[in-house]
Amino acid sequence: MDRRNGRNIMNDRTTINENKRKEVCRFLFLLALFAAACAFRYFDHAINPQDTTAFAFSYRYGFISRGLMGTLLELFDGLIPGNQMTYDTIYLWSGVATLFFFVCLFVFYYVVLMKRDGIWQTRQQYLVILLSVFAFPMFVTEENFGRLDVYLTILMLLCMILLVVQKAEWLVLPLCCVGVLIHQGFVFMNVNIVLVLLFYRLLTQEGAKKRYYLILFVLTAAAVSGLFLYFEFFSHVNGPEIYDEVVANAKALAMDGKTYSTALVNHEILGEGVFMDEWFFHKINYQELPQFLVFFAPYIYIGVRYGRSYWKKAKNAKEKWIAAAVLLGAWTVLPEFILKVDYGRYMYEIVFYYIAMVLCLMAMGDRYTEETTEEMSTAIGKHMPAALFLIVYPMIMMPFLDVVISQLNVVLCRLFLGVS
Amino acid sequence: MKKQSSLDHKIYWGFLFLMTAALSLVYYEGELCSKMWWILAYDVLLLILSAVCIHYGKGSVRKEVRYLIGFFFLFIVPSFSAGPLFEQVTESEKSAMGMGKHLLELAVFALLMLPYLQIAVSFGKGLYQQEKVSEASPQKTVLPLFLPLLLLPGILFSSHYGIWVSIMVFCYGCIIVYGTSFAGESWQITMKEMLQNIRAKGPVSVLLLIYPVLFLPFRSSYISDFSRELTEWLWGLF
Repeated sequence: MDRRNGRNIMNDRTTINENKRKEVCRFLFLLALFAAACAFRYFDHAINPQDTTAFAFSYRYGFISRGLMGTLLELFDGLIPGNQMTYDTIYLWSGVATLFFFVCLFVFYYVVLMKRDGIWQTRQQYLVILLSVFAFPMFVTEENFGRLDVYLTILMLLCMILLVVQKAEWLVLPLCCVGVLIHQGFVFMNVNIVLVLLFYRLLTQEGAKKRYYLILFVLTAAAVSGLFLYFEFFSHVNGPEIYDEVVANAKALAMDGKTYSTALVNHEILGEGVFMDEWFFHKINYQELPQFLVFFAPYIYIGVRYGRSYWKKAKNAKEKWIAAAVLLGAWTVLPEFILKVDYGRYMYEIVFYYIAMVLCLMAMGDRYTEETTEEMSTAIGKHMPAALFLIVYPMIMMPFLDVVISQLNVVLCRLFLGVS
Repeated sequence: MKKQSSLDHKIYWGFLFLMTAALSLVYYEGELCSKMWWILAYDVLLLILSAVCIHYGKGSVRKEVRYLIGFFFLFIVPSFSAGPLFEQVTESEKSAMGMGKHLLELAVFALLMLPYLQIAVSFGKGLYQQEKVSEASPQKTVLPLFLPLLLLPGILFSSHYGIWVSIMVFCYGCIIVYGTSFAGESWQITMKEMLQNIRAKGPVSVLLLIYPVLFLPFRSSYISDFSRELTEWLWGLF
């Protein structure tokens, strides 16, 4: 009798899981249609010279920064008949990478949604849609299609998936190292979310698991920091000797066969600072940022309130450390804001960090995230008569670009500041 | 309770102002000139019309009217701000599209708008049935929903497809918001039921709110960048 009951309970659970899976798949299918529409709408069918130039760097010239993708392209060229060192190959690679980014994003959504049921899953679905509003158009525009960021985001998503499902988490270490080999910006823009999730696991586990996460956290942090310091300060010794050849390669990879990014080659190959060369773009940044913040104010207000409420819930030192890491993690991107010019990319990373972090923590069963999300959703529902428009509103600012944060800034700068 | 309601009211208007300003600025494509004043006047007019519907309309559907206004603003603010009404369609543009492509674009656009068309049809059907139940004259109530269809010849025989489509959407926006605010009880019941059905779909219903942004703004000679892109792709395919 007991055995039969047990079997019935098992069958019921299987049915519930199957229903949940079907529901999640149906939701993701509709989201996939929306993703396809977004990709079609914003795709510009072109790659910037800035992004083709990055493929001219290769380990043929030594262990230089951003050399991995160029090296892979050369390997591909050696394996496939005909000249593959062309703009068309990079275009094809970028298309495949962008498609893979969408696949990884949807796997991430599936993983986090399957972890929760009922009202929590519904709340996660709203957050998933909000994240999608920012993420879907990001890597299909001319400014960002083919940019190395898409590879970095794929690696970051893979790490996040592994940490949420708690399988083969050791892969985080090699994946993060690959990220820095592709682009040092990974350290500022993407690894934060991975390290914060590792830190969370480290502080919430006990015994052997705790030691495992401690070792993984220390090794990952040390490896990415070491690689970053090496690429920033010690990888330019052969710069002057290889400069001309790299420039020739970069020109050959451009769409028109001649345009390449001087600033990128000077920085990565010669190790020159480009702050003054990019002063024109810095000026645009300083003008556009306040405008953007004004229009983004509702979300900043909600974010600050959410953060304050989350922080207040932490009672002991361990919880305070977790809360501090979660809330401040996104600000590793701050050096980029000071030294570099692509504010659109950095803003995107900040927004992505916070929404994805809430999704991950909810999937990992963090009590305080759940409580804070519940409080916020009640507060928003109470004070905001058309709360759903909070998800629609950012859509009109999309897509985020590179130097210019969004189309909104293009128009505002032109109107009020005379920047064309 | 009253304090809470007034807070809601302020936040809604703040949000609507911000949204209108953002929509107008994002989609504005001209230079800083007198056209800006036209756009400002248009936005102010829309906000006044909205205020009239919210304040003087029936209180029981105020929440629904707020949602409807927000939704229709998504369509009608950008389409005017982008300035298709100011544009001159050149001869080369006319010949580049041609009648065949125009009709294909119209079909593509209708296909893309299918979720909304389905909702509109079910709303019309619901309204008709509601009127029948209350033994009123259903034809008279449903008639306004057919009035914008008088613009169809304009869409089919003019070279300004986008403008005609945006006018049609504008007309539907006005009729539906006005009807929900001021018309008979059957309008309100049907609208409430319709929005409840949409809300029951849960988070998926948000996609219905986001989706139109992809079409915007409506253009002059062709309908929208998105539908033209798809049309060109299909035209090349066949």
